[in-house]
Amino acid sequence: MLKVEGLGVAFGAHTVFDDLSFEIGSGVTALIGPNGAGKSTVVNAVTGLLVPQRGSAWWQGRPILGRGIDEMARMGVVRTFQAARLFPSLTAAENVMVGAHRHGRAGLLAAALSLPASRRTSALLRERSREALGAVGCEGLADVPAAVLTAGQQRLVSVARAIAGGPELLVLDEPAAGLNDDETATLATDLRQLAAGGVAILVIEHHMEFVMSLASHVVVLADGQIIADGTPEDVQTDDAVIRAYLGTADA
Amino acid sequence: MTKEMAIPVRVAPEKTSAPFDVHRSWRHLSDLRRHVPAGAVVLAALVVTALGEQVAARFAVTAILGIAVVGLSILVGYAGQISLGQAGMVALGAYGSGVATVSHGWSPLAGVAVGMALTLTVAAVTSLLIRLRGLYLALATLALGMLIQIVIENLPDLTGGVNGLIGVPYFSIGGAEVTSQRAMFLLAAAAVAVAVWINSGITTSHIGTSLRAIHDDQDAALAAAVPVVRYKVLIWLLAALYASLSGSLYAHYIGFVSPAQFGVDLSILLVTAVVVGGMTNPLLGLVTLGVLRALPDLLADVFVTPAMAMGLLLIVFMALAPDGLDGLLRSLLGRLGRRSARVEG
Repeated sequence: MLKVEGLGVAFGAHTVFDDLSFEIGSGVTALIGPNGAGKSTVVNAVTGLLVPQRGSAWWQGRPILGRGIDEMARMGVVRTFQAARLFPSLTAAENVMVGAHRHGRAGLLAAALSLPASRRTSALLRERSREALGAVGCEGLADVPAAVLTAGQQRLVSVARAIAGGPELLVLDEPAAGLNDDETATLATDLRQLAAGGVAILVIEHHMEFVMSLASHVVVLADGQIIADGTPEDVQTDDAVIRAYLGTADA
Repeated sequence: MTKEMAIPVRVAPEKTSAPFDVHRSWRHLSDLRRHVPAGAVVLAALVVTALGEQVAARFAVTAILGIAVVGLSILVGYAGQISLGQAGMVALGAYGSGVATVSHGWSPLAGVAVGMALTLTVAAVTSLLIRLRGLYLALATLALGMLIQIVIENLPDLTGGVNGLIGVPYFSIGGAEVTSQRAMFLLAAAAVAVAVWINSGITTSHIGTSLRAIHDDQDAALAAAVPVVRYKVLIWLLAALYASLSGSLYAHYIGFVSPAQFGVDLSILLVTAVVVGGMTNPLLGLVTLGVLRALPDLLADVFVTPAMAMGLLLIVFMALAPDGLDGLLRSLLGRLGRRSARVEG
């Protein structure tokens, strides 16, 4: 469903990668690799946050490189960030409502004139927001201002915000960072349910236990190269992966 | 199926059919709540009108400029897009009315329409500016306001140049002229009430939530598929429309328009009212506007120019109370609430 070919990104003289190709389908795909391997850059490139210098990418057969992050979100590719980046002046429920925004029909005119359509849309988005918060086990936090949530709660709410958009491809940049064990377990269960419901998930994560329990497909990136691409079992026993993670005698 | 999923599991079905439905009553209450600010404006306007012609005269210009302040309140306060050139939009409304009525003998109502069409055209063309952020937007809008003033000055055949246009007629609807102070004040206050009502509709809706999201973190709002640019442009146009009406009524009230009336000091006055009043509370913005307009008289001995007092206020509030009077009041009420809770406990 997501196909990337010959992707190349450089920041000035520094080349992050220059010829990356991979494909991801349904289910959960994990993109892993040592720090600085370029994982976030890959994700930024396919979600419209940066325009790569070379290569092509297609989502559901449509070319996507060069489209903005908002356009990608409207195409069903919704992402979270490494930091939760909630809207601090909004409550948790309002944050998630913003994520559900594209499902609202009523526009500015209906809102300005307090038309019933606007109230219906607000009610619909509130409902979607409550559902999505429930999906990550945060329904009790609905009316709490985002600014006072713990780091773990903020991250879960940011995942709820992404889910509320009704994504077809959900891209999560280190969703388990800062979560305690219970929260991580809840998140893993929710993501499995989402994937079972037909949402493709691409996840960058350092928490190996979390990744291996969740992913059906693992892509390993090291030094700007894909060094392994397969099932979690294949990848865990791959020599190149072991070398990249543990280092070699001459490294 | 989604409907079923949305109902919290703990709510037993029979509860929803109970005679007193808490959820529904609360929703009605919050539906009513959106009409409160406009209601407050109507009430205040009736009180001022009842106090007589002189009191109405004192508040007429405040009510007229208040329309522009309500527009800035949603543009700056809600969506977080600063405009330091709103006087330019007020000028376009004023000159649209002035030129239509003085030079062409059209009715004041047609003048208002001409002003609005002109302002909307300029605002639509300059809506490219609203893509800028922060300091760049502030500087660009400041320059836009100055540019409009300079263009007006340099079209003497059309606008009377620096001398302006004299003899703008009283506002009238179907031959009925608005000549008394009270009638003019009421007319402007009615426009303020409508503008406040429209603001409340937007800010209490899902679009208001998205505007606050844009204010907080534009990129995260984009990532959530919020049509950031479209909303910013629409609010920019709405604020321009309010400013235009404000300018038209001003022209018909004063009877004279000149470029000097619509300088940077007017833009700063409007923004200061919004910032000091409290970004998201148009009512306190209106009150602040009234106080700021009275300041030059009150502080004539202390400050050489009213702009000095305004600049100082703006700096103090930006630095010490970025949420304005609204924020100060809220934290005061919060503190009192906590204290009384402690006493009771």
